[in-house]
Amino acid sequence: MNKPARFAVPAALYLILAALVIVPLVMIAAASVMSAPPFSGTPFHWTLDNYRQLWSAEIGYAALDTLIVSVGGTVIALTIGAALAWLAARTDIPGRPLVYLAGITPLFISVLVASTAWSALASGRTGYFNLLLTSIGIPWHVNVESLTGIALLFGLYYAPYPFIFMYGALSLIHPDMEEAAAIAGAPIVTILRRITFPLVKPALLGSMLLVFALMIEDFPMPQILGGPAGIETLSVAVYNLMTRVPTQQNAAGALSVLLMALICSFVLLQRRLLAGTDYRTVTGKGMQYRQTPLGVLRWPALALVLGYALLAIGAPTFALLEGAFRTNVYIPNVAALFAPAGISTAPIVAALTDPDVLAGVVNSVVAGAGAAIAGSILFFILAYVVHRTNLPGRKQLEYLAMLPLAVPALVLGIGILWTWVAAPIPVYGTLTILSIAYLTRFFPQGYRAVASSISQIHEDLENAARVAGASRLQTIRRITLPLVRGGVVSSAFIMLVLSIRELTASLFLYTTTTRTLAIVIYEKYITGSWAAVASISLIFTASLALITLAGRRWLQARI
Amino acid sequence: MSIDVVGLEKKFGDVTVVCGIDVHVPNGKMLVLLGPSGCGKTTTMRCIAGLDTPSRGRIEIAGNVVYDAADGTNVPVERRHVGMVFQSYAIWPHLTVFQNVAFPLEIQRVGKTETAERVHDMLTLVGLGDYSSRGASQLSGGQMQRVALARSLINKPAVLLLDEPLSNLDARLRDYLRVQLREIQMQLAITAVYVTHDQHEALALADEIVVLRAGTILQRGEPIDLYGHPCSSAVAEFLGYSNIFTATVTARDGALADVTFETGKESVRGALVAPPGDAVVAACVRPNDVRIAALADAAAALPPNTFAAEITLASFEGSHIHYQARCTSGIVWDVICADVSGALRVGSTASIHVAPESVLLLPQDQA
Repeated sequence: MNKPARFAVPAALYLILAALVIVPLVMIAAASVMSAPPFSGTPFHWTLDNYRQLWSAEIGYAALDTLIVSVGGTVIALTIGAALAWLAARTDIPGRPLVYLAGITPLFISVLVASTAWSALASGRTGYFNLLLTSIGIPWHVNVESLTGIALLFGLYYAPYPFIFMYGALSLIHPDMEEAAAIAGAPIVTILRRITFPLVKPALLGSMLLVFALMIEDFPMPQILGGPAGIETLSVAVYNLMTRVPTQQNAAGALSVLLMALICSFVLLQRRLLAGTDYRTVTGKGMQYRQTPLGVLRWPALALVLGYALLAIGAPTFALLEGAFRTNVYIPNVAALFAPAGISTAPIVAALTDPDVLAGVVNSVVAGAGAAIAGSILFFILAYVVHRTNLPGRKQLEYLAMLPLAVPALVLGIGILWTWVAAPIPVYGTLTILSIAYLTRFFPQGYRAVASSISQIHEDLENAARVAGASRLQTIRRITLPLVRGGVVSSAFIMLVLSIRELTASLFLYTTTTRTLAIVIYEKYITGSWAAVASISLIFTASLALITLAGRRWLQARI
Repeated sequence: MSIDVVGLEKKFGDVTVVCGIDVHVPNGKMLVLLGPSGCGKTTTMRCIAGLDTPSRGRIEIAGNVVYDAADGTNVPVERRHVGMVFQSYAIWPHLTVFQNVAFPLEIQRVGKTETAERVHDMLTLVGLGDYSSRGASQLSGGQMQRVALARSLINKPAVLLLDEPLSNLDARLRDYLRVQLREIQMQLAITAVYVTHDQHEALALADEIVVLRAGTILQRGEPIDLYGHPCSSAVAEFLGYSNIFTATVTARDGALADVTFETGKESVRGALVAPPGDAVVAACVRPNDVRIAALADAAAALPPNTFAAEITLASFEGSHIHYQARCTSGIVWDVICADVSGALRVGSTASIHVAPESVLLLPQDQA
């Protein structure tokens, strides 16, 4: 590569990544030591008062609440995830593919939708679930609008992460390793303790830290379920400081910095724990797994799995159907839940013809597609530079690309707001700013998909083309691109799905003309129209499921 | 089309992988770079191809300077007009056999009919005439190897570079393809550089062998010459001299010398190759030059260059028996015995005899 290009390409990538990732973080950090919000026009001075202001009972309780729901949620998620993974990967449980499905499907239900559905299911006396309890004579009500409730639902909906990690780890352990231990005379318990457990330990610890960090920064669930009960986690506190009049945006900035430091330390810890513990032992040969016979426990085990699926998938789906296909808002008892009289398509028709919803669909798809298309081009160039050239500074580029993993979505949204609100390019208030937010937030996920497929291609495949007389650009076009096409398409697809689901980072970036579908659901929930929330959520979830199903082959498309 | 490499040096960071080597390959000849992994042989080849940029030196292909550190000449890989067969074959999985082989012609914008004709001829030459529409992923290792060879030869390159092309194949296929490779190379009279760590391959294929270690050339020569006259113990070890003992010179007699092994117990007469100044030498004997016979009376006096040893291994390998025999001093002889009829038993005592002319007293390399 000639000299100017050697610097121009990485310089351009640095500029883009800096604008996407670094500037928003700098804005937050700056706001946290200013006396007025950035670019607000108000004269300001530098101060540490914003941090001092955080030293309050309110924030103290928020920290405590965050800790309680996150620790509780992590314990539940890990227990469910690890148990399902072991059952699906290593036992003779009936219907193993079904167990696998139960393990990953909750991932496709957005936390926003799950929260609204559960608040209809199990809060107050008229929650559907509580009606059921009353009808069978149990004078006791489940209330998810509580710390315990939030922790439980965190556990239910974050269980797929440990499941995926553990399932991967368990199915990648070559059975020869365990058989070698058996031949050496070790009994099954010793094999589990000395061979299997150490091999899956990195996955267990890694997923533990990951879900813990995700729960700390989660916004929709504590906001929707905690709001009515007056529970405030740290991310909800950031949101409230930003939005409650009189706003304290600089205090929100200071709290954001603290929250980010917290998440950052967990992500670093996780990366450190997982570094050098790549125990993959794939040989490409067909592996015959030894299955642990469950004996008489086979059916009870399956019942537990189905119970989880019922709670995580079945119950909220039922709640959404109730809300979307019933005209009577007040449901006094269980009989009314199933009474054919109230069944109507009116709410769902109303939702489908609501101009806000239609605009939301278009906005979601356009903003998501923008992020997906821009992203896949950018990811390919970046991955090529990192993995296939010796250009200066390419390793640091990759660190920058992974940085958004350590930034809470809410914080990122605020940072992007402050970055673009005064920018000379008029993107604030357009769908472009949402695309930018999605691109930044899901940069690590999208980049990884492309990078891993590039790094799987043997460099000799490209060298062979060069030797055959093809230039670098010809080689990229004829060899590299066709070979990574699967990775690029699946990256674009991941970006699209994640973007359409996104709520938290968009909260500070939308205007009345750029509401996405997730925003529409959230607003309808805030204004209290459950029928609309349920109808739109149902459409939202069904479309996401359809897109995912349709894109399954892209997600697996790998040469 | 010749290749000339002068003073080639390649550093990766602070590590010097190739330290100033000179290689000349005359037109139509095959040069083999032989050496253990990490000796710089692949790096040397990649520098010739243009895949790595040397740190110093000059490279000429067919009389054209393609790299010269002195004036900054560095012809990019795609304009060096070389053919290369990679160790991993590098067959493009998204293309068919035909498309793989036709790729270099396509880049040169050769017409469709001519391409089809040339690809067909080339596939016939490598014995894959019927495979042109196969997807690359449906091929066996040997077939991939031949597609790679066809692809590297299709646009009549000035020189052919082969990077351990047979190392991923099983033994029988390797023998077969080695012969085919040499036939094709001689038939096309193409100048070739072949990198390998396998001395059998090197001896069978080369017009000239260059033995490399740690980035420097230890010795070069024609295969027969090299095999008979290694210049040092490291080269000898690489060419299959599996009996190598450190020894001290006690007496000289013209081209011969008497030496005593490190153990102090065995003395042997051998052909002195090491310079007269060396007091310590390496006594090197090929396993098939060691004569082994049953020894009835272990106490009897033995003739010169003969030792009593206990058989510790007797492994029948079809055309020969592979023995290991241990002297009381502890040294172990590696023996290949073509006579498979009178097999000696493990635990029995045998006499080991080495003729003075088959014991090479070579300068000892520092490991």
